[in-house]
Amino acid sequence: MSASTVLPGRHSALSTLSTVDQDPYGDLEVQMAPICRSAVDTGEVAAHLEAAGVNDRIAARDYGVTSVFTLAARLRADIAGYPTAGYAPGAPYTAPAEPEQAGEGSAVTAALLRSALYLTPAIVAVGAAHHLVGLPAAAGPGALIFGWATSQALAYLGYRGLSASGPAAAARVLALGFTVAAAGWTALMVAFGVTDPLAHAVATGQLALFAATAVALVTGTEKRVLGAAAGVWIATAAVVAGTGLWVVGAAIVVLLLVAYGPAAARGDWFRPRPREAAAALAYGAVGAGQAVLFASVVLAGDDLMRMPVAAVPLLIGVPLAELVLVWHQRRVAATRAALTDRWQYPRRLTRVSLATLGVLAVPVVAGAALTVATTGRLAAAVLLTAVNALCLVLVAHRRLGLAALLVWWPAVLIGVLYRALPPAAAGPIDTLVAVVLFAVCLPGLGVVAMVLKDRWSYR
Amino acid sequence: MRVALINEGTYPYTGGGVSTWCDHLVRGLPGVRWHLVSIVAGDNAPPTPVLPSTVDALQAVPVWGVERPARYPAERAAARMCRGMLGNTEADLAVFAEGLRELAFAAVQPPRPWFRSARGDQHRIGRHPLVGLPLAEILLDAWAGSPALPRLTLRDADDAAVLLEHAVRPLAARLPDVDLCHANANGLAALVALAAKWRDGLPFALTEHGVYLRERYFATGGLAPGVKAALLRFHRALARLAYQEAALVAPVSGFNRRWAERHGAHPARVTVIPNGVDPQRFAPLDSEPAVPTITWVGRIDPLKDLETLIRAFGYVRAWLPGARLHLAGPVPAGNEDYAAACRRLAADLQVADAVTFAGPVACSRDAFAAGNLVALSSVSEGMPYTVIEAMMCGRATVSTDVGGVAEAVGDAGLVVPPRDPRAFAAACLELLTEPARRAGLAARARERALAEFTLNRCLETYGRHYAALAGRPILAGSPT
Repeated sequence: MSASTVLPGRHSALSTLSTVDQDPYGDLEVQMAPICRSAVDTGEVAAHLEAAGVNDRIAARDYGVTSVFTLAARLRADIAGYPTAGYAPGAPYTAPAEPEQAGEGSAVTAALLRSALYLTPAIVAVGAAHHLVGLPAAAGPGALIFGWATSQALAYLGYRGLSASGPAAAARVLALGFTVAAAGWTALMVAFGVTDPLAHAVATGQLALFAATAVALVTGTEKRVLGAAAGVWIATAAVVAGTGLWVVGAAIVVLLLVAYGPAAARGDWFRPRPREAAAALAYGAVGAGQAVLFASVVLAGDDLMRMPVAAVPLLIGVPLAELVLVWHQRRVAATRAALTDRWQYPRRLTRVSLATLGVLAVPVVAGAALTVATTGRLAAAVLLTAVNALCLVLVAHRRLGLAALLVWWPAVLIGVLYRALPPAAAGPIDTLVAVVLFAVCLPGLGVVAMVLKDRWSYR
Repeated sequence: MRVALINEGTYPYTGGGVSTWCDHLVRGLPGVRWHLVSIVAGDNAPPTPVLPSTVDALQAVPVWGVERPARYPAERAAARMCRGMLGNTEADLAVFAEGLRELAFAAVQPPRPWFRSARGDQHRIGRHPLVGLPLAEILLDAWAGSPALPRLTLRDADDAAVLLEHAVRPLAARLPDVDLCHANANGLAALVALAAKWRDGLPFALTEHGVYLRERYFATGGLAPGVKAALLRFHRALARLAYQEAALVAPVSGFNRRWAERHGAHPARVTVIPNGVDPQRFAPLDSEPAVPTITWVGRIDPLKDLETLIRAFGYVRAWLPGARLHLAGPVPAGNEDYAAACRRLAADLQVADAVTFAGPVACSRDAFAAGNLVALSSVSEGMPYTVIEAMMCGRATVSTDVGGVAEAVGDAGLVVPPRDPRAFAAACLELLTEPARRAGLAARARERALAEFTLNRCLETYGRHYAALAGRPILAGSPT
C-alpha cells in the first residue's frame, strides 16, 4: 500500500466529514499570499508549504505539479512576481516605528528618576551639615572621591554582568564590590589614625548611597530604589528637626536592603575577565577625576554650606546632558534605520552632531558669560556641568583616555591654584577656577565634535 | 580510527532524538575514538555529562563568547563572502566559497614570530576572522549590486553584520589529529567540517536529522526583511557549499534527501541512512489494554501539534465514548503555557477526564503498552524515533505525513495530513474499532522495523562509510 492510499477520504470512517475544495490552487494562493510576498526565495515558500501539510504527493495529487518546490515556484511567480527575491512589485515596505517616537517620554522619566537619585547624597549632606563639621577629610571628600570612582568601575562590571548573566549576577557583583571597597576604605582610615565612629559611619554612608544608586541604574530598578530613598529624605528632615543622625543611618540600611534585593535572586555569578577588570579600572579613573574636580569646585575649602548653591547647576545639568546624549543616539539610530545609502550617512551624522554640540556648548557659553560678569563661583559650577557633560559623551563613546584627561587636567590645575593662592582670596580663586574650566571646555568641545562625527564610535 | 563528531547545541548537553542518535553512534562503534565538537552559545558551556569511554575529548565552540579578533584584517575575503552569498548562480557560490575559505585560514594565522616561542601551543586557538571588520559597510556595498533583494537599511546592515560575524566564528575551531569529520547538521556544524577540510584536508560526512536550511526559514521570521534576507542568503549559500563539499551526505530520510539534492548535493554522494533502534530493548508487546486507548509519546511542544491530537480525540470520543488518550512526555522549560493550553483544550472539549498527562517515561515501550495504538500528530519531523520504536514494539501507528514519517511507516501504519483532526480521528477510529486490521498493521510494523530500522543496520552502514572515507577499516573493539 502506498502512503497515498491512507490519505483522508480513502478508507476513512469519517470521510463524510471531509470537505472537498473546488479550487484548491486558488485557496492555496490566498493562504500563501503573505508568505510569498515576504519570502526571500522559493525554498522559503516550500518550507511553509510543507509546514502546512503539503508534500510532494499532495502537490502532485491536488495541484498537478511534480513537487513542493515546483508548487512553491509557481506560487511565487503568480503572487510575488518571481524572480524578485522578496517583495512583490508595488508592495509597499512598511518601515518599523522609529524608536524615538516610542520612547521619548520614557527617556525623560528615566532621566528625572536618575536625577532624583543623585539628589539623595546632596540632601543628606545639607540636612546633616552641622553634624559633619570637623570630620576628617577621609570621611568627607576622601570617601566621596573613592565612592564615586568605585561606583563608576563597579557599574561597568555590573553592566557586563547584566548582559552576561542577568540582573541577579549584576547586583551580586556590585554588592560584593562595594562590600570589599567599604572594608578597604575603613581599614585605610584606621591605618591613617581615624578612629572616630562618626567618621567611619559617614564614610560608609556615602559609599552606601553610591552603592544604592549604582545598583538601581544597572538593574533598572530606579523607581523602587527611589521609593526607598524617599525614606532617607524623610530621615534627613527628621535630623533637621532635631533627631539624631542614626535615623539617616537606619534609612540608608533600609535603602540598601531594598536596592540589593535582586542580589538574593537565583542565578549565576559573574566573574569578570582580566580585560573587563582593566576596563573597569579605566572607568574608575574617570570617575575619580570627576569626583576630584567636583570636590575642588563644589566642596572648595571644605565648606559644606557652600555646596548647595554650587551643586544646583550640576544636579540640573547632568540629567539634561544625559537626555541630550539619549536624543543624539536615538537620532543617529533613526538615521541608520532610514538610510540605505551609506554615503549619505556622514552628512546626516554631521547635522545631528552639530545640533548636539550646540546644546553642549550652551553651558560653556553661559559659564563664560558668568565669568565675565564676575560671578566666579556660579560660573565655575556651570562650567563644571559643561565638563561633566562632555565627559559623559566621551565615556559613552568609549574614549576613556580623553575623558580622564578632560577631568584630571583641570582638577590638577585647580589643586595647584588652591595651593598657590592664599585661602582668603576666595573670589579671585573662584574666577580663576572658572577660567581654567573654560579653557578645558573649548578643546573639549572640539574633541567631542570629532568623536560625535566618528562613525566607528557608534559600533 | 578517530572521528570528530560535530554538533550544534545538542549532544552531549541536551536530550532528544539527535542526541539519542549520537549516543547510539558513539557507544555502538567501539572501533572508533571520538572527538566531540559541540557548538554552544557562550563561553560558559553547560556541565559536561558522563561520556562513554570511546570519547577522547569534548570541545565546546562558543558562538557568542568573548571575541578574539584575527591578527590581520580579511576585508577582501569578507567582501567575497558577502557578494557570493547574495547571488544565485554557481559562479556566485564559488565566490562565496573562496571568501569563506580565506576566512578559515585567517582564523588560524600563526602568531607574530616574536610571540611564538613565548606562547607555546597557543597558536592552535583560532580567532574570529570577521571581528573588527566594517562588515556592515561591506554588506551594504555587496547589496547594492543585488537589485532583487529587499531593502537593507544601515541599521539592518548593522544587525545582519553582528549575526554574520558570530555565525562564522566556528571557523576558528581547530581540530586535533582525526581521520574524518562527521557534521551532525548543516550550517554551523558543517562550517567546522568545511574549515577542517580546507585547512587539513579532512573528508567529512554530513547527516541531517531535520533540514537545517528549512528550519532557518522558520527561525528568521521575526527579523527585519533586510536582516532576514542577509541571514538566509548566508545560510543558503553555506548549505549549498556543504552539500557540494561533503564526501557523504547521509540524510535520515528521503524527505530530507530532496532538500539536499535541490541545494546542490550530488545524488551519487547522497545515501539515506535511517535511524535505528535496538530490537531487544523494544521487544514486541504481547497484550493490549482492555479500554480502547491512544498513546502518544514525545515532549510537549507546539511542533508536536497536540491540539490536533486532542481535537481528534474529541471526535473519537463522540463515536467511542469509552476511549482514552494517554500522553507521555516531559514539558520542556518554556513550554509550560503550551501544556496548559492543551489541558484547557481537553477541558473545553469535555474530554479532560479521559486524557492522561503521564509525564516523562524512562522507556517509551512502557508508554506504548498503555495504548492500543500509537499516535504522532507532529507538524514537523525528521525521522521520529517514536514511530520506529512503536513499530519495533509491534504497535499500529497513526501519524501525520510530515518529514520522513510516511517513508518510515510505509504500508505498516496509517498516515494522514497534518493539522487535520477529522482525518486523524478517522484513522484512529478505524484502528480502534477493527482489531483484526490493527493486529495486521502491528505485525507488519514489527516486520518492517526489523527489516529496515535496526540499530545494528544503522551502525554497520555508518561503519562502512567511515572506513571508505578514511581509506582504512575500523578495527574491532568492545561496545561500551
